[in-house]
Amino acid sequence: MMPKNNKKVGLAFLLVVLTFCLSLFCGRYEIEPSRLVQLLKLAPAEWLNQADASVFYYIRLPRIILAMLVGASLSASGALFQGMFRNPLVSPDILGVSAGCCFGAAAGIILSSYVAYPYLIPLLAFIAGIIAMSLAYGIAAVSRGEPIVMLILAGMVVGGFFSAGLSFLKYMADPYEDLPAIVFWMMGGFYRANWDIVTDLLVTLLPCMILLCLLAWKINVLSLGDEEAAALGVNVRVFRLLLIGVATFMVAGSVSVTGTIGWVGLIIPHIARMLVGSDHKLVIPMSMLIGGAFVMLMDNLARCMTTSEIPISILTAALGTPFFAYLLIKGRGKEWG
Amino acid sequence: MLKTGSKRLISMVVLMVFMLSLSLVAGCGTADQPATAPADQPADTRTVIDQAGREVVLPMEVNRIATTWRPCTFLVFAVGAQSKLVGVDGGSTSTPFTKGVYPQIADVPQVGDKKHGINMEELVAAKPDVVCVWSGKGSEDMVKQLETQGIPTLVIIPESAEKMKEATLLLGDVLGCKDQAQKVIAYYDQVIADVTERLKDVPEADRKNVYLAGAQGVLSSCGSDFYQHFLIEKAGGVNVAAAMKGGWQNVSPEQIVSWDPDLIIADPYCKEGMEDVLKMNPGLKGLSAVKNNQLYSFPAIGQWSFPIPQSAMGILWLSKTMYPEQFEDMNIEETVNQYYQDFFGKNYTDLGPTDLEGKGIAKNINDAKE
Repeated sequence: MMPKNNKKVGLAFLLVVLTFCLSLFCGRYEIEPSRLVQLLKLAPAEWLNQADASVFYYIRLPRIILAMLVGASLSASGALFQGMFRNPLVSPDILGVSAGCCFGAAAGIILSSYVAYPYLIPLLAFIAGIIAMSLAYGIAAVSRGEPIVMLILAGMVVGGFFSAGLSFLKYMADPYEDLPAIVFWMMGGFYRANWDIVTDLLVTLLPCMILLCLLAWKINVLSLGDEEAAALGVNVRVFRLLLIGVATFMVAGSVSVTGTIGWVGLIIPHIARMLVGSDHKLVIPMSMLIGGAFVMLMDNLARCMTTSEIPISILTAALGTPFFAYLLIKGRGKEWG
Repeated sequence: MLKTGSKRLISMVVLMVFMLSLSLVAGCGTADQPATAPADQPADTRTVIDQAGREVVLPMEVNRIATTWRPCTFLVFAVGAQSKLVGVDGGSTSTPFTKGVYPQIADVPQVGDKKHGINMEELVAAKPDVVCVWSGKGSEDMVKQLETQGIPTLVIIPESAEKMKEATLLLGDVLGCKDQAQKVIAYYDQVIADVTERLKDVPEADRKNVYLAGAQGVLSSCGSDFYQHFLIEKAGGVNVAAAMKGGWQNVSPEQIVSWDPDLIIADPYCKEGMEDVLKMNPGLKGLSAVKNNQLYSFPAIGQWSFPIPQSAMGILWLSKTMYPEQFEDMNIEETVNQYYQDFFGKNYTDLGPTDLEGKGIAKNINDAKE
């Protein structure tokens, strides 16, 4: 069984590479394929000197990389949460992280009238996302009851609280400047991509992804239930906190840059699980690969289908859900016992 | 009585003469070029200050402009530079006004908009000399990306009458259409002066209370910080919702009853019919405006409630709707047609089915909304 699944992961890797290459050719700014090959050989010093090179290197490429990174990290954290909470309905925003990020971003948009720091919005979004998760974890830790149920409930509570905060900020916001900017931010998308953002995210997300892959076997143990895991000699509390922390970093990092992008973190882990079974050593990398490819593809559509942009969440939902439904019908449904 | 009548006649004559003097404008060339650039700059560029106070270096002659939101596109039309549009906000290619006045707009690529994001590659591919962007927030990333592509951006903020005039003159200057920009603004001021003159004998106590039914339906209205409030004031009305803040806000039926406006006027963006609203809120049937059938809808074509010079027609229409006796000598259809003929080379009534009477707030009346 094992080698066959390894082959599947290899194929998924190939899929990511192919999608990436395909994405390079997609865009509303026409670049001939032969010219594109020339552009790839161009020295960095020349990137800004030619019109098509600057479009390719400063608009298209960072955007593709951003889409891939965000797709991978949302999917991986979704897989982690689903596994850890033994619940197929869980998505990465379960601990209120997304709601926290949105609140932070809205606060950042309003504060940017007074503070002239260019990355204020993503920074505050990131911090608020982390705070939301810490609150949820804290509430769950001091409450009595089954830890996992408490975590999910606390996440709902914190998420609801930050959503209320967001609504309040929207109500208070200046209708000409702040409010449209907040609504626009919430919609989510990759149009903000530039190299600063991409390098910041790479530094934040890559270590998390590697760590998650290395710790994947612990998720297998944790998903057996707390008592069994403890019986196997795993320190449940420490590892759960560590894993939640890593996933939160990934979600907060993604959401703080791109806004909320729906469905990816819920659907992709299921697809990965249907392909490779329930071993998280495979599910996690598989989710990353499929998620990265899927979001890159969806963003290609968002960029290229019309002259205007199509909001990415419409595409991920409209194309992701039917495919998911197909898999549910076709699948054997064994993964969740 | 005779005295006010003759004054009204005079103001009418002034307006007519003024409009006749414009009749050859329609469209603007590149004839009036700006003064020379300072010595320390390349000869073919110049620096302008945009509405965010930024210094923007532009080519001496701007022949390709892209806009990223609707009011700005309409401003470019207002100064007569529509033939220089190489990219417009989503949807602007198919409004009755833009299509009717400049059919070639159908071939101009849509580059996205403020609400849904900008397709950067499409925008760059349009090779604009300058891109008009909305004020600061939410546009920083776009400005930064355009900077790397060497495309200058011009921040346009037409949020009040003064800012709107400033924006029009700025665009007129940038696009080499100073003449038409000045004329369209002068006409705007003239209309406001004319309306004020006509209404000067209407005592404060007889001023009409207006409820503007807004974007989120009849049960929403706008407070004093939106341009629509200014329109009502200049048209001689009193905005009952003036105390509200924050643009379009939902309003409870009880609040409307306590305001009891003389007129309810639906903004072009209001898509709800009064009949449905009354069915669901029978309590509103007692409103004076409903009992006296003082329900009106803004003409749907031309965005007369936008912060653009064309809103002069909105002020005129609003004022005539509130105080018909003061405008008995004016044929609104003629005036509006003359205006559109002068500035856009086409009769307003030829742009599409419009109802300048605006009687009633029907559900489907604004289906042709822009």
